[in-house]
Amino acid sequence: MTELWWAQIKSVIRLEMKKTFFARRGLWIYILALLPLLLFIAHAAIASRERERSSHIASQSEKKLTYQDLLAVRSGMTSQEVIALLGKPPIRFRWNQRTPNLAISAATGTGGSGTPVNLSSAYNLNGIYTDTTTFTTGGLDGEGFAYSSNLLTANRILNGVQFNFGPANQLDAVSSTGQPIGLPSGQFTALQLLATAAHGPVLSQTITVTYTDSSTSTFTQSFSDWCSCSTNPGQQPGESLAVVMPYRDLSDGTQDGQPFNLYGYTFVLNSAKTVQSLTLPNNQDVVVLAATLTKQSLGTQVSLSGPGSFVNVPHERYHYSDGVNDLTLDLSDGRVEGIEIRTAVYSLGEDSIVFAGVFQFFYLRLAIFFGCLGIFMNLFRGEILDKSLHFYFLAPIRREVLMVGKFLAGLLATCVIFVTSELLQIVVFTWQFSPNTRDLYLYHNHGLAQAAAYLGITALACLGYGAFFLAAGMLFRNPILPAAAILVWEAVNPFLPALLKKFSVIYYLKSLCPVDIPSPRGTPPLLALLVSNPDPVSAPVAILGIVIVALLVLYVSSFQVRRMEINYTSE
Amino acid sequence: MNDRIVFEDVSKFYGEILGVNRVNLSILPGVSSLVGPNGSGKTTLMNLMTGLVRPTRGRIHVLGHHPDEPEKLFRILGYSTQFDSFPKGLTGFQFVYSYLRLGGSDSQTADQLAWRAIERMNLTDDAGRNIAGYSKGMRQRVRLAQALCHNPRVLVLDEPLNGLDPLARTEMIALFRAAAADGCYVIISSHILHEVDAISDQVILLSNGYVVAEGPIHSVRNEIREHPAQILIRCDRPRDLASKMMESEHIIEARIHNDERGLLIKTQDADRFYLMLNRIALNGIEIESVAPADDDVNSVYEYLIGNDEVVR
Ligand SMILES: Nc1ncnc2c1ncn2[C@@H]1O[C@H](COP(=O)(O)OP(=O)(O)OP(=O)(O)O)[C@@H](O)[C@H]1O
Ligand SMILES: [Mg+2]
Repeated sequence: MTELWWAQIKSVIRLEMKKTFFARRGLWIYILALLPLLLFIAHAAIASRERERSSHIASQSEKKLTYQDLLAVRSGMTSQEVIALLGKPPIRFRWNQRTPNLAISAATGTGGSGTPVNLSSAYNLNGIYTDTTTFTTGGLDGEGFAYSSNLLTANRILNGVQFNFGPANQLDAVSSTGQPIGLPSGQFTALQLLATAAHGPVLSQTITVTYTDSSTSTFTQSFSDWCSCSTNPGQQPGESLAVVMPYRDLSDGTQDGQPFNLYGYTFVLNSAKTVQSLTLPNNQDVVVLAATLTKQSLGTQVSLSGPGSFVNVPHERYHYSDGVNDLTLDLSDGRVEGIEIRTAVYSLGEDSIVFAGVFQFFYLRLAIFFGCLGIFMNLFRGEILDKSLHFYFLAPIRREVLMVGKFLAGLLATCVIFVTSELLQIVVFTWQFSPNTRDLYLYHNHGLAQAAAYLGITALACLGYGAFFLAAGMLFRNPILPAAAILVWEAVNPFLPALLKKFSVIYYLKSLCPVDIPSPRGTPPLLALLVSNPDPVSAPVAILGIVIVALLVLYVSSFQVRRMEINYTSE
Repeated sequence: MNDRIVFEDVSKFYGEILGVNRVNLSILPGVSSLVGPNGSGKTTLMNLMTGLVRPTRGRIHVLGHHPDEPEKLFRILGYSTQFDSFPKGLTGFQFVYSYLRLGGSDSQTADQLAWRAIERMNLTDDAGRNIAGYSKGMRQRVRLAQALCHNPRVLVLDEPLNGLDPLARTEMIALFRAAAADGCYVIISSHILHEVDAISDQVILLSNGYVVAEGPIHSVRNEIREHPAQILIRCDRPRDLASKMMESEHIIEARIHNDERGLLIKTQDADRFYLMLNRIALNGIEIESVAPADDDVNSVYEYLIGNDEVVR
């Protein structure tokens, strides 16, 4: 009897093979199966190019470098020191960067001319702090940054004009809100401001000076952002660099190591009239630190924004490599400013986690899942759609035997497609390593065992999902709903009570996966549960579990197949 | 019990729709014809007999086998269905061969049996071609080949003469008779009573899912003969055909269709008409189709089935 069944099963498989392997509607299954392979091929190609580059750099080195050598470079070293340490850089770039000239700042001290305007009544910001002070006021820009009073000092003289700053660590700067500020009475040729913009440049703002006869002078001015990193700082019309400081203070007491500027502005007044008040623009991002009225005859103010206010600082970039790890140094004006070490990214440990991730999340849950859906659901359904199922039902063959034959045909097809792809993935994955690493991985780091595990899991997944989808294809006319139901069932598996959990495929597959994917800190607990496996079962239990679940589903399906009728009409 | 096909109070509903209702039949060896207009339940009865659909009520036995056991049933039964669809990509030979292999035959036996069946159906030349390229009649013949390739004792053939040319019809009919003479059960269906009554030992007349008459053919034949039948023939030379026809005394009327490609015949004796037609067809007039003129409820059924007394 079993001999007859076996002969019948073989003939069913023979008939099904062509359909499952070469069906045009099955093309996407191959694409799904081959996608991770392409990924790993690309990965290996990139890795080998990186490796070549590293070893190329290393081969060009004067000295044979070790990883320890690369780590020895410190920030602030001169280029001579670096070269003494590592030899001439095999790769070196040079360029000049235009930066505000720290040397051009206005002089400190008192004794300048003009009538400083007392802004204290208008102070509404803590814009200046002594270094290392921690503060919670928000500073100059409301985000915890402020000028350093150590650098700015209390007074500055610009073109002979005296400017006084407010006291550090208190309210000492004016954020413009369109408020009028009283001016000392008198007739002046010019009003000069030391000010800046925060949060980027602020363009075309209106400043008004009101005279005692109620007439006004109105000025339009644009303000650069205080950071030298902004575009063309200090180069708005009528704007000059007044003070350039190498850093600013942060609210946590540290310093922000790039140049910050304070700008000077000059507004020419009607010297025949007596000034009364100054109205600042209505824009909080314009911050005024000092104001002075002057009687200098016109033409004597010199703009600081001449050719000398910017300098070209030589920058350099050195690349070193020990053959595997790369070191990139950024030098500014002959000193090391930035150090970047790139250890061999394509390292075994990380890579096997990437491999595990691709396997668990793409291959297992999507590729194999939907591949099995496509093949197993169509075993019966496809033939109902083609109206050819009766061919089988007319033969002297037990319906159960027919079902088993079809199931085995599907299993054969999916296993061949997915196990082959998985095998190729493993080959490509191990191929990218150097021969030594490969041997180490395969023979000493359980590489072979892991490969076998992945292949085994792939086959088991085909078995488990195949059984589910075969049943779904017989029980339901519309495949979308049961497929969605199975997808959801598998996805919510971690949240199910222990007993229900056992009636799923992914539960066992996850237990079998050889490489755990560590969930990064800060992963939401729900997501972490998807990744982790809080109560894994042992391998024999897991394998047995899948086989039992699959047999159970097939057993239930065998009743369905006995009762199946040929009804092509209501599709 | 084990020597006949038995329907015991069988009903089949497709959801709300009636397929057949309260059918009680006992079919003996010989040619039995299921006759009825479209939708009367012929295919449903055959599908029930072969387990392709399951009865809503009642029991069926085919020579002691239950239709729920295809592994036993189809050893003695071959079914040529009305479904005009085939597994993809198979040639005519592969179709019959793989059917035999499904039954468990070894490759040699299957090969032999398949070729024999294909030869019987005159398909030898086309057996290597993909079925997708077959004509309607060839598809019909390859289905018949599949049904009888394993020499079953019961042949269930749904509209087996459909699509066959007159020559093939004659051959098929001879084949049915030969099988019946061998003690086989040949069950065929048709919606043209005249097509089958000459060859049937028993007719089962169906209407709207009910068996309305059942019995040896001569008991119903005479009644039918008294009533003229109208038959539409499409052919290339209707005038020649008409003049030949009118020589026979049972033809009451022959009218040429307007397009000169058809002929409407009114006859007293449809049996003899069909016999004559086969002879004439061999004489070089190309006949495209032969069909009862009243398509749906033809005159025969009006007489036989439209009568309430017969139904109850
Ligand atoms: N799969 C089905 N679903 C719903 N109704 C069906 C189905 N198959 C048949 N029927 C209905 O059952 C009735 C009998 O159909 P059946 O196919 O048995 O008729 P038939 O005598 O073979 O007709 P034909 O001469 O056209 O082949 C019809 O009313 C038909 O509409
Ligand atoms: Mg029918």
